[in-house]
Amino acid sequence: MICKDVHKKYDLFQNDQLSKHEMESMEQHISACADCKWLIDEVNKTMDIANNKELLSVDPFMFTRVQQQIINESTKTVRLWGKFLQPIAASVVIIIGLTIGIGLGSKFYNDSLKSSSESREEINTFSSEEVYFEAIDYSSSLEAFLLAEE
Amino acid sequence: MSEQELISRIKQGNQQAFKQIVDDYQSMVLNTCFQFVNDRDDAKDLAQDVFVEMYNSIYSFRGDAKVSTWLYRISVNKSLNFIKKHKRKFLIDDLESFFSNKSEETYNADKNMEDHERAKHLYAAIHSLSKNQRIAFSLHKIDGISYTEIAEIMNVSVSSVESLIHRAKVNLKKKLFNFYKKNVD
Repeated sequence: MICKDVHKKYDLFQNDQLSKHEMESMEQHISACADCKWLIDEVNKTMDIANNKELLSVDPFMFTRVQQQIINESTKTVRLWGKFLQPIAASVVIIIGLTIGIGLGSKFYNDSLKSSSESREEINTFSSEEVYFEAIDYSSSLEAFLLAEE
Repeated sequence: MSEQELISRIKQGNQQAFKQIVDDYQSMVLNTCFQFVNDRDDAKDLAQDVFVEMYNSIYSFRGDAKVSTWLYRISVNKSLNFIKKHKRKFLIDDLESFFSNKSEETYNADKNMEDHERAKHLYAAIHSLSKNQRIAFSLHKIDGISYTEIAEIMNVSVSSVESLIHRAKVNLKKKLFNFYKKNVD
């Protein structure tokens, strides 16, 4: 077996999927070849690091830090709400003001329109009655006047 | 005091109960995050975020799973989001060193330096695994966590966890072998 064979068959070798004969010849080559031995050793040493990974020690101030972050986040939320609520509240006040203003304005307009139409109606009634009386009274009174003159 | 009692006390606003949870699970959360991000400071910040999220979502915890499973799940999600968010940094810091020929310098360095380099290569290789293999393998490396608990955290069967961990190990060895082979060539 040569180094290239080891490189090719490494996957099968690490999965124990080689025949007994191939396994033996691969092991023989690895123990005799410095490069292949280094390669396999290096892979195993690197994998060992995962097994012996250092553990982080606990932080005595973790709870204080967590508590502070919770407070900061809640204040931030309130501030964020304030940031959005202020323009929304201002817009609502403006809309309410406008609605009331328009409502009041249209009421006054309607009232004045109503009162002007009522007075116009009164005038019309008065004038029509006047014409009616004029038609009767004037003709007779004029005739009487002319006759009296004569 | 049982976990359920502690949780119900936290729901009532008891800070002492919350402190006990933080003290009890800090090491577990910290080291879970560290398995994923491989940086002490980032792991500490993430652990802090995990407990804040736990506190904020305490009302949604119904007690179906163990507190540890719940915290593992939050830790894994936070860590993966962190990695995703800082993908560029991770790619530059780790993958570049993984595929570069820096390891030649390592030969002359002392053992600690060699181990440090190996850890970097290993981390980069873990980082290039598929998401599920990465999660299963990283959780498997945390002390005391069983296949059953990993299955619960990942919402998969125990046999799937076994298979994921086995494939992760095979793929890691393959990736490392190919990486070191480049140095021999």
